[in-house]
Amino acid sequence: MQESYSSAETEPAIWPWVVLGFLLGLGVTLNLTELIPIKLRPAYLLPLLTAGLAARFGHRAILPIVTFGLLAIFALRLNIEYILRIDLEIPGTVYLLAVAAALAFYRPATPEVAPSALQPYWRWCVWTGLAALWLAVLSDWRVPLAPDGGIRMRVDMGALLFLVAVAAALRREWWLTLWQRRGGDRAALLMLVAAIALLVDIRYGGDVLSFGFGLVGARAVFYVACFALAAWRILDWRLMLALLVAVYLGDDWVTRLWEAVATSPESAGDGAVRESRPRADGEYRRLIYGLSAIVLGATIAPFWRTRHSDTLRYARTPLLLAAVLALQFAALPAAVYGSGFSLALGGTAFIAGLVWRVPGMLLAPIIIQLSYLLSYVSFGEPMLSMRPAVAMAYLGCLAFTFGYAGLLCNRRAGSAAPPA
Amino acid sequence: MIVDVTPLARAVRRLDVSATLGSFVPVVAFLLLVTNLTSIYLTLRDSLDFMDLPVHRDLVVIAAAIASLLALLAPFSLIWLDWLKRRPSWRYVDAFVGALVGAAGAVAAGVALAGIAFIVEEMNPQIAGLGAHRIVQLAGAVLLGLCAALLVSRAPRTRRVLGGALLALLLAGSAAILAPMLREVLAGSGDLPPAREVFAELAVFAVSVPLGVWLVVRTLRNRLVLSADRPRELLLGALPRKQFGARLAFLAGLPSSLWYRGALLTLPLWLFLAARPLVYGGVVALRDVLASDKVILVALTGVALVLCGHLVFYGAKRLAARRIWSPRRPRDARAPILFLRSFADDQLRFTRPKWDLVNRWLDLWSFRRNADETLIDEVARYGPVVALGRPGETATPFGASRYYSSDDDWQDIISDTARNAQAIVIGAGDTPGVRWEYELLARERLLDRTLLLFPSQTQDRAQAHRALANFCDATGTKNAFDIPAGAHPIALLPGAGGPTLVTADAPAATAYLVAIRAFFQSCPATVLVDPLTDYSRGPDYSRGQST
Repeated sequence: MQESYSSAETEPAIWPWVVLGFLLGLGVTLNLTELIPIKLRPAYLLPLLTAGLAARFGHRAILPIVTFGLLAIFALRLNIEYILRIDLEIPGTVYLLAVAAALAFYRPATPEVAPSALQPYWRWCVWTGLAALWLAVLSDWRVPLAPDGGIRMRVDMGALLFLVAVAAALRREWWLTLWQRRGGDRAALLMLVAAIALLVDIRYGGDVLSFGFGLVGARAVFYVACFALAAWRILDWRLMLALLVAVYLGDDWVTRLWEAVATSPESAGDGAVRESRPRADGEYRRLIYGLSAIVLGATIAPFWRTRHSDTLRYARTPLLLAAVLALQFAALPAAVYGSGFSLALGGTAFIAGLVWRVPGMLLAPIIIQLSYLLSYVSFGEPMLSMRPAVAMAYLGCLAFTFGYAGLLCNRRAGSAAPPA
Repeated sequence: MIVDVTPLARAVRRLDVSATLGSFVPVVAFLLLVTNLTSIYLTLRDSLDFMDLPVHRDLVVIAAAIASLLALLAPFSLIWLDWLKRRPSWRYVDAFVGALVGAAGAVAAGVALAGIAFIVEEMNPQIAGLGAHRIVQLAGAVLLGLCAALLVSRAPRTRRVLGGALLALLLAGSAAILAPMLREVLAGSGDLPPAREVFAELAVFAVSVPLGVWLVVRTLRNRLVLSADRPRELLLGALPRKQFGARLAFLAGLPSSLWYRGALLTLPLWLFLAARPLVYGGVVALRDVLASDKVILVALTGVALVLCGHLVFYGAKRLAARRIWSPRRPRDARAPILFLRSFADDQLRFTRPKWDLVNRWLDLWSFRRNADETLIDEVARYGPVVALGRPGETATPFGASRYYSSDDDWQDIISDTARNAQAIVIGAGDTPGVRWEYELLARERLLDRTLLLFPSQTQDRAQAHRALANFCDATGTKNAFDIPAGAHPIALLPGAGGPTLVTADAPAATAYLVAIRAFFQSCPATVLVDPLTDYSRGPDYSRGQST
C-alpha cells in the first residue's frame, strides 16, 4: 500500500511537532510521600517523536531533531515547596537514542565534505584540532571561572582549541553559503549555541530554581567526533587509533616525568616522599570510549557510503564489534553509565541489528549482558547487592533499543528514500 | 506468475491469533480493569500501611474516580488502538511499542539473571559469605552463552542439544533455588505461609513466566511487521466502511455476517458475545484453584464455565447457520458471493494435525477450520455468501447460507446466481459437478471474478498439477505453471495480466486467508510479491519471490 504524501505546495506544518518535542522535555516529580515519589518523564517518548518526524517529513525533520538537542544542553529545574518539581531537560542517552530512531526511519545522504568548503590545509587543521581535543579530554582542561559563587562556571580550553581548529579548517565562503540557504540562519544559530555549550559549562543550584547550560566540556562531543570522522572516512581510522594511544601515552609520560622532577630529592629536599602518580580511571575510560567510537565508526563506514547493510557483512565486522566489547569490559566492569559508554554499547547493538537483523537484535543484549556478568565475576567487587542487577537491566534496555533501531534501519536499506 | 505467500501467511497467522485472543478482551475489559486497578490499590494501601504512612482520603477518592473512568474507557481504547494499528502513517507507534516491550523483556531478563544471586543468598543465609553468588552469576553467564549459541546455531541437531542444555540448566537452577525453601515450607516453618499457598504461587509463577516470554516475543514480532509500510487490510482484514459498530464487532470476534445493526436483535450475536466471558471466567477460576480453600468446587466451576462457554459458542454457530438462502427471493439486496465446491469436501476443510490442540482451539474461535467458515468471517461484510446445500444434509453447517435444491434445478440456480454474483469462490475438484461449474465460468466469461481454492488435502505435486490442469483444460486457461517442489498450491487469483498461482510451503488456513483477502481487496500480485521479508533469517533470505 503506497502512502500518499503531500506535494511541496501542501506540505504539512512541522512546527507543532517541534513544540510537542520541547514539551516532552518537561518532567514532573510529585513527592506526596517521602518514600514514593511519582515521576513523569515524557522525555522518554522523544525517540517516538523523532522516528515519526523522520518517517513523515524526511529531510525536513533534520533541523527540528537537531533543535531538540538544545534540551540536552539546557537544563532547568523548578522546586515548589519540595512537593512538586518540574524539570526541563532531555537526558543525553535519550537524545542519542532519538537520533538513532530517526535514522532508522530516514537516513540522509552521506554528507560529502566538499573540498571547496575546506581550506587547502584542512587535514592539517583537523589533525591538530583532534589532537588538541583529545589532549583536552584526557587531561581535563576545564578552568573554573567563578568557583565560590552560587553559579558554577567553567570554560573548557580544550574545546576552545578544537573550535578554533574547526573554524580555521572551513572556508569563509562556506559560512556565507550556509547563511544564505533556506533555514541557514537557524542552522548557524544552532551551531553557535552548540559551540558555546561546548565551550562553557554553567550550573546554578538554588532552593527553588536550578539551571544548567553546556555539554559538560569537550568530552561530550569527543566520542561523537571520533565516530563521525571514522564513519565518514574523513580521517584514516587506524591513524586515529594510533594518534589517540600516542597522545594518551605521551600525556602519561610527560606527567610522570614532570612529577618525577617535581618530587625528586634534589627539588623537594631529603624528606620528600617519592610518590608515583595514580593513574586516574577516568582518563583510561575516556581513552577506551574514544577507541571504541573510532572502531565503531570504521565498522559502519561502508554502510554510510553505500546505504546497503550488505556492505557490512564482512568477517571484520564481528571482529571489530568484539573488539569494542572487549575494550568496554576488559578492565572496568563497574562503569556502565555515561555518554561514552552509551555510544559504544548502543553503537555496537545498532550495528548488530543492522547487519544480522533479528538475530543481531537479540544477540546484542545477550552478548553484552554476558560480557558484563563475566567481567563482574572476574573483576567486580565481591559485594552482594542488587547493583549488578540494575546494571544488567540498564545494559539490556540500552542494547535492545539500539539493536531494534538498527533492525528498523536495515529494513529501509536499499529502498527508495522517503519523500522529501 | 507464481507467488509464495508463506512469510506473509505466517505474519497473518500471528496477527490473527492475537486478534482471536484479543477478542476475549473487549467484552471483559471493564471487569478486567476494575479488578486489576482494585488489586493495585489494595497493594499500594497495604504497602503504605506497612510503612506507617498516612493515606489521604481525597487521594483515594481521586484514584477511584480515575480508575472508574479508565475502566469505562477501556473498550474504547481498544477501538482507538485498532484504528491506530490500521494506519500505516502511524507505524512508528508500533515500532515504539515494540521497542518498549522488547526493552522491558531485556530489563526483566537482566534483573532476573543478576538479581537471582542476591535472592539466593537472601533465602539461604547459611551459604551467605561463601561466595555462592559468584557461582550463581557464572551460571547466569553460562545461560546467556547458551542462549547466544542457540540463536547463532543453524543445524537442528545442535539446536536440540543446546535447547536441552538450556532447559536442564533452568530446571537445575530452579530446583537449587527452590529446594531449601520448599524444605522449610514442608517442614512447616512458622515464618512461611502454608504449603498450599506456596505451591499455588509457584504454579502461577511457572505458568506466568513462559506466558510472559511468549507474549513479549509475539508482541515484538507483530510490532515489527506492523512497523513497516505494509498493506494493513491484507494483514489485519478489511473494515469496509470503518464504522464504529463494525470495528467493535471485529474486536469482539464476531463473524462479519453479523456486522449489521439488525444483528443486535438476533440471538446468535448475543450468544457469540456471551461465550467468551464464560470461557474467560472459567480460566480465571482455574487459575485460582490452588489458592482457594474449596479446591474441588472452584475447579468444577471453572471447568463447567469453560465447557458452558464452548457450548454457547457452538449453539450460536448452529443458530446462525439456520439462515437459509432463498435464490428466488433474496433477503439481501447486495450481489451475492457464490461458494462452489465438491460435496465430497463440503466446507473445504483445512488440515491441522490432531495433536495440535492449541491451534485447533484457536481455529475454532477464529472461524479458521475450513474455507466455508473463513468466508463467512472474512467476506460476508461485502455481501451474502451463498451456496448449494449438500443433498441429504440434516444439519446445516456454519458457513455460507445454503439452498437445498432438487436435482433438476440446481444448474439453473447456479447459472443465474453466478451471472449476478459479485465474486465466485470455487474449490478445485474433478467431480462432474465441479467440471460443469468450470465450464459454466468459462462460458459465461466469469473467470475474472473467480477465485479458485485448492483443497488443503492435496497429497503431492502430481495431484496439485492434475487439479490445476483440470481447471485450465475446462476453462481454456493457459497452464504455464510449474509448481515448485515442496510448494502447495493454495489459490489461483485472476488478474489483468493473467492468473496468479498462490503457493505456500504448507496448506495452512492463513495461506488461504491471504489468498481470499488478496482476491476481495483486489491486491495486485506485486503486493504479494513485494517480500514480507522474514527478518529472522538474515538479508539473503527472502520468500515471496515470483517465478
